Formats: sequence, C-alpha cells, structure tokens
Amino acid sequence: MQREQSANVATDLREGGVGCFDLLIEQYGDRLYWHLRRIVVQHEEAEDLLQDTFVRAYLLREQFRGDTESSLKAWLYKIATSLALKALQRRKRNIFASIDSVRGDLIATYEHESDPSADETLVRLQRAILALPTKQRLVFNMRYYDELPFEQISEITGDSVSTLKTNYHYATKRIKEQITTIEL
Amino acid sequence: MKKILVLMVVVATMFAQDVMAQQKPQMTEEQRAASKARREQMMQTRLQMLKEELKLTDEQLVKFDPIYREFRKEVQRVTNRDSRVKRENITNENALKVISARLANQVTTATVKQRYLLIFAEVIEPLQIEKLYRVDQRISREAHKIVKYANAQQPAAK
Amino acid sequence: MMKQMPYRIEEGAIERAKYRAKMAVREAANPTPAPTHRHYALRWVFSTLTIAATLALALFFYIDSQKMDFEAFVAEMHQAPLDVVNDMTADVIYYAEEENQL
Repeated sequence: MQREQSANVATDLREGGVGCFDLLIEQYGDRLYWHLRRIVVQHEEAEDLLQDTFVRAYLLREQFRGDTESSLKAWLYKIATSLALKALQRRKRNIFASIDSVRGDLIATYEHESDPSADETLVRLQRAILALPTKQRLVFNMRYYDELPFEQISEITGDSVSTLKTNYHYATKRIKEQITTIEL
Repeated sequence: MKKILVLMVVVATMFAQDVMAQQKPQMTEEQRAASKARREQMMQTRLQMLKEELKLTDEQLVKFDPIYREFRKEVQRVTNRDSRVKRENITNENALKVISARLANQVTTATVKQRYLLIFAEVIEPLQIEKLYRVDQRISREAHKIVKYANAQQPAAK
Repeated sequence: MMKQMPYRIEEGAIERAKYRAKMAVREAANPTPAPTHRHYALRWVFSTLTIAATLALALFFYIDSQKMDFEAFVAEMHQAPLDVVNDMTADVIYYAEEENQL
C-alpha cells in the first residue's frame, strides 16, 4: 500500500490525520522495525519502540518542515533512533557509564534472539556489529542494511558527513578484523 | 569475502569437534539457582580482584564489567571440555583426536581473546589488557590445580 | 529487497507490531483521560526507585572498599565449590608445566 505522493509532504502529514499515519506505518513499518531491532536486539523492545516512534511522529507532526519523501523518511528514522538510544541508556548498569557499556548485554541478548537456522556467517557478522561502539554501529547499520546515503544519515544522527564516513570506515575495518582473526 | 567465508567454515568445523560426550548430572531448579548465585558471587570477587590488579578506575570498571562477563561466557562457551581426557585413557585409537581437540581448543579460545582485544581496548589501556590476559591465565591454572587435586582425592571413576 | 537478518522472528510478528502502532496512534489522536490513581502510583514508583538507587550506590561503595588482590582471590577459590572452580578452568592451556611429564 503506497501513500500517494503529494506536492507538499508536510501538509499531507498535518492534514492527513490517523488515516495518513496508517499508510505511513505500512510504508515504513518494516524498515523501522528492523532498524530498531538492530539497535536494541530484543523483539519486544523493538515492537514497543516502533509504536512509540509513530505516536511521537503523530504528536510532533506539526513540527515537520520537510517537503520530500526523503526528508520524511529521515525524520521518522531520527525519531526512531533517538528513542532507541534512550532505551539503551536505560539499560546502563550505572548512570555514569557510557552507552557503549551495554554492548556486553546486547551480545548476550543476541545469543537468545538469534535465529538458530540462520547462516553462521550472518550470525557472526551480527555479533561483530554488536561489538562496535554505538556511533559506528548506527552508521554501519544504516549504510549497509538500510542503504541510506551519508547525507540522509547525517540528517538522522546530526553528525557531519565526514564524521559518518570516518565512523563507517572504522566500523568496516573492525568487523573485518573480528571475523577474520585466524590466519592459516 | 570468499576467503572470510572459508576461514569461518574452518573455525566452525573446529567448534564442531567432539571427542567424548560426557553426561552432566541433572540439577533441580533449587540447585540451579544456588549454583547461579555462587557463580555470580565468584564473578563479583573476580572483578574486585581485577580492579586491584589492573588498577582500574571506577569509571573503567563500570565499562569493563559487562564486557569482561561476556568475554568469560564466550571463552567458556567455545571450550570443548570433552578434549580433557586423562593420560591413562588415551589410546592409539583416540590419541590423534584428543590432540586435535586440544589444539582446536587453544585456537578457539585464542580467537575469542584476539576478538576481545579490540573490545577491551575501548575501555582499558593496552598494558592493562596484557596484565588481564596474564592474570586470567594464572586463574585458570590455579583453578585447574584445585580441580585436579580434588579429583585425585576422590576414588577413581573407572 | 531487505538484507536477511539472523534474528528470531515469529511469523506475522511485524504485522502485529504495525497493527499495534496503528492502534497506538489512534489512542494518541483520541486520548482517554488518565485515572488519577496513576499519578500516585508513579510517585510511589519514583520514591522506591530513588531509595533503591541510593542503596545500590551505598552497596557499590561498600563493595568497592573491600580490597581483593590475586592471592586473596586464590584463597577464595580454594573455598569455593568445585563446580564453580571447574568453570574457571575453561581457557587453561592444557599442556601446563605439571603435565609435561614423559
């Protein structure tokens, strides 16, 4: 089900009401679910965050100023990412700890959440990704899985394109190092 | 990419080696809960000791704690204890399998340690990691001595 | 085409998640008045969490104050149950010195 392209996406969003959001959820729900799941790992949490994302988008619809589908997509991703990062912050064992301290928990959670019938290569890749620092993991996921351009990721995270490219470079380097640690 | 896949198939094959399956005795729920509590107590003591030995700051410790727990879980997970065959039970028929399993164990645990080098490096200094790995190895050797001595005190199973 | 994700997912789970999201947006569009007892419950939860956080902090400092060097830890290991100690042998290099006997 595709939402009709409108000359003014912002107006569409404000005036479309709940019906418009039904279409948005159909259009972006799957992508956003997986984006959230890749951050928080657990299905139940991703499901809750998906709800929260669209509710927040509904409540903040008056503030959306974009005029393209691309900016709408970036806006939704931005809301989702912000909520997911707050969820990770709540998982920290200590209020003084950095968000990266939850990596161990995420990897442990992944052991229960991984698909037992999945390709071992993909499972190892996920573990390697979950071991990355949060900023690198975010940009890697959005670039590799969501295939978003750096400019759009920049709108989502607030980081500059050059910072994102650097983080992406380090992320891929770490992942390669982690999954090729044996030399024959 | 192909090379990565081949390497990973090799590692996966090493993980799959199983020299001798051993039956674990069944535990009740109560016993399981008690065992879990004892393990947690030991882990907390271990972390306190590591804080002292590695001279970790409080800030380092809170970051280090979950990563170290995960590291130990991973090391335990990849260890194939079935390769620990008593010398008197090694025969011509199983010797090569036993050696192969021991070597595979060394490779798999070294792989885990290699992977965690980068993760630890995010939260503690390289010199602290070097000491961590040395202290961890000493703990394993001390634990091995304790278990070996305790087993020697008991009457032989066969 | 989305890349394959190696996560457990029940059939229809994402469809259910999207349905819940739609219902949640409807609820946000037409909110039902919150019962006042919720505010009291939230206050109670907040107080409990604050007390728990304070106790946890105190416990953290108490544990921190206990000194534990390697020798003291080995002494603890000698007192620990054998199954716990056995777990700790996971990464021992099997050809330890005492094993190198011909």
